[in-house]
Amino acid sequence: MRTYPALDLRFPEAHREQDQLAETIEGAILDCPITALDQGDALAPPRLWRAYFPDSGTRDDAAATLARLCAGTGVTIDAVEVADEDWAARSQAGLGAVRAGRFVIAPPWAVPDRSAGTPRAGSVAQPATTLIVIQPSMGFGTGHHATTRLCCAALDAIDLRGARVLDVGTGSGVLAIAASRLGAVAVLGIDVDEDSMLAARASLALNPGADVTLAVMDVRQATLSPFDLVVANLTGALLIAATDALQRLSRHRLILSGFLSEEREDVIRAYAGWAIEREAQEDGWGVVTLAAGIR
Amino acid sequence: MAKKIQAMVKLQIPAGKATPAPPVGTALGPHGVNIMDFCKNFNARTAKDDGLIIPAVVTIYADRSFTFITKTPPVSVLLKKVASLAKGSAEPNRTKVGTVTAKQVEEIAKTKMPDLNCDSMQAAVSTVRGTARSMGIDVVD
Repeated sequence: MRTYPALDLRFPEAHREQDQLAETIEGAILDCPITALDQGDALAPPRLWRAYFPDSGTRDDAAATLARLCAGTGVTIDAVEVADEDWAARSQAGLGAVRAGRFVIAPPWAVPDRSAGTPRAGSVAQPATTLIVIQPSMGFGTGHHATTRLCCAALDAIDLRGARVLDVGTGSGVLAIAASRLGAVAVLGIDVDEDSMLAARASLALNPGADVTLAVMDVRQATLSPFDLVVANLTGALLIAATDALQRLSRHRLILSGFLSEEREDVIRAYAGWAIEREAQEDGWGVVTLAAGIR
Repeated sequence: MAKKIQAMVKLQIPAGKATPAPPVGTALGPHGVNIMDFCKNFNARTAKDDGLIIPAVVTIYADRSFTFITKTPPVSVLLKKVASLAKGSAEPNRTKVGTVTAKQVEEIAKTKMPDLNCDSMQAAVSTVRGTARSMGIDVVD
């Protein structure tokens, strides 16, 4: 299992000048090439900080620097290899099935029993549902986030039969699979995060028949021929940073999401020249479907 | 009734790049927080500050729900970014390692205003100038 090189800094209890010392050490840590700093639970002393590094070489260099600074202060420094412990999956172990438009997105342990929902004679027919099974893990998209549901509904509003679709930031692969279930062909899901790719591959195994290909790729460096539809559930800032690439890669439509409601104006402005075909908001998050044509 | 607070975890993570790997998973997982939910929210709120490490204080309640606030990066980090420096000077009085303009100092002061104990812009600017001096960074006009 993958581990992450880090340094543990333990502060002595009841150190008189602890706050000032902590501030000095924090500054020194931030001078090092750290990838992150965990400063622990303020409500549960003693103080233990864990600084993360890109590799053990930079970690060991930093250990030497910080050891000089901490000499005589009582602060101890230990090099550690932090295991992942799979908190992504463990923290989502209690999730149930979610409805998103015509889709039901469910973890493997909560797949709805179809025979149980037989409508009573004479009752209104249940709308047809399409099941997507997602194992909650390191890839975004279990259906529990508003943006996933908003994107599913946006996909469902388009006739995707025979369309070529690109899913940027595919995460768990949920939107790529949804597009395929709606009739899209040769759907490509890309993500910069390798952990997401593992999650997306697991999703394809759980949803046999989905016509989806996956690749680790940054959309800004992608050299692909244009698609009929590009769906991108990223962040407002990333949607704006990737404006050129996303516009280049779409012939007809863009579905953009992952932006906050207050970022809507900025995102729309970045895609001037595209017409707003449909949009929706939920929980402070937005989705917009843009159509080409008046460029 | 106010919800019972279970923990207040402070993390400093790269803007817009939170993933469920350590430290986010290992720091928040044991408290029952949905890690993916935290990452999506943190990334949405910080992606515009790409390239900076952003401090966040996550308040976790007894029912496992959470809220978080992001803070502006420390003045020293902002100064290093503006001056394109890896670190401050070891002897700030004698060895100057870089320069920033008065306008850049003012911009940093504006960014930091919400987190500094300053009543006025002028006080914030002098705080930033003080930090620059202590790092061996000259302020030029």
